[in-house]
Amino acid sequence: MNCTTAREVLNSVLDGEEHPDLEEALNHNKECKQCDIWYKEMKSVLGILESSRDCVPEIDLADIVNARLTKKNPLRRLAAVTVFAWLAGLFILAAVVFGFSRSMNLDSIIISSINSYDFLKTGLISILGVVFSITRALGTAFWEIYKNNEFRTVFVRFVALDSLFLLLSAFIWRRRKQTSISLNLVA
Amino acid sequence: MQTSDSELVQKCLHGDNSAFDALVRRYQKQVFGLCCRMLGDDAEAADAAQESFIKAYNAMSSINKDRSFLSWMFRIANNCCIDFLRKRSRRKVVSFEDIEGNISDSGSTPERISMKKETARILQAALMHLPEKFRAPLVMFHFSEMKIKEISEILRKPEGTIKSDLHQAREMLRRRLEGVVIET
Repeated sequence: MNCTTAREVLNSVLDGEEHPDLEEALNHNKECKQCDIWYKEMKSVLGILESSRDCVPEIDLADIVNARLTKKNPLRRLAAVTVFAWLAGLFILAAVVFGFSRSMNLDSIIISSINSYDFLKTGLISILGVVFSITRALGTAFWEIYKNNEFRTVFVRFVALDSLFLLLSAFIWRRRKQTSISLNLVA
Repeated sequence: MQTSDSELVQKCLHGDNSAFDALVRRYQKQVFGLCCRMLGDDAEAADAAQESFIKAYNAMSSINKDRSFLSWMFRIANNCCIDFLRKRSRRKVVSFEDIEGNISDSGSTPERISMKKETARILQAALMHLPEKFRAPLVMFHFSEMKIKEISEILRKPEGTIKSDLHQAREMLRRRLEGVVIET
């Protein structure tokens, strides 16, 4: 048996395995002084590892972990995300109302030109906007709690969705303005 | 009779925080021990162990029922230690020569305690010189008394690779501890 094979066998034995060639490897060590010293040193290393096994300071993590988990109470999280979602929803609502009031020319001087049909339509759209905003905000908050994601994700999602919504509002407003101009030209 | 890990995990999933508390108390020593050996710093190890338990709590729903809780926990703790080591390498260089553990050892003479402390200190310093990929299997095998198969599951490496890493780690340790080995 050569040195490499003998050391492989002895390493397996040091791993706690039984090896059929152990006898042969030990016989090799009797003839090879280097391998014999190596094996003795390896056994000493194992002895040091064994003797240091329990040398770990005593610690009680349970209370600290518990305190940290209470801090991250899902109910508190839910409350925080919901408040944030509502605030974001309100911001969108304000943007929607502003966009549609512009589209209906509510801020123009000629109030008399607005007929009752437009008023009704604006009101309905606003109510729908409120319902949409609140539902979406709450839905997102609950979804985030369920998925247990970070707060940042909620924010990014809101920004992405609200940007889309604002773009849509702007598009509708532009279309309505163009129609209004065309009607004026026809008139 | 002691409640099994899987029962405690189930209770935990149903919102019973005391079940998780029991799991922490059951495995805190092993997890903290692993972190201590991996990081070589008690304070950092305590932080890493805490972080591991918090991560485990948050990821409890993803635990595989066929896998042991401790193996799963060790995987989280090992990843946590790797994160801590990465942060450390960006932040500062720790002098491992200054590592001094507050080792508890009752029932031994002061000389023996002192010698044991010294050996542990030297060993920890030597461990910290091992590359991370060799340190993890060595710590798990020799300190946490895990089997090669379990380590291969935790580290997601073939058993042969774990064995080879373990042998190399021991060889590196032997060279580092040469003086100490002769004295013992």
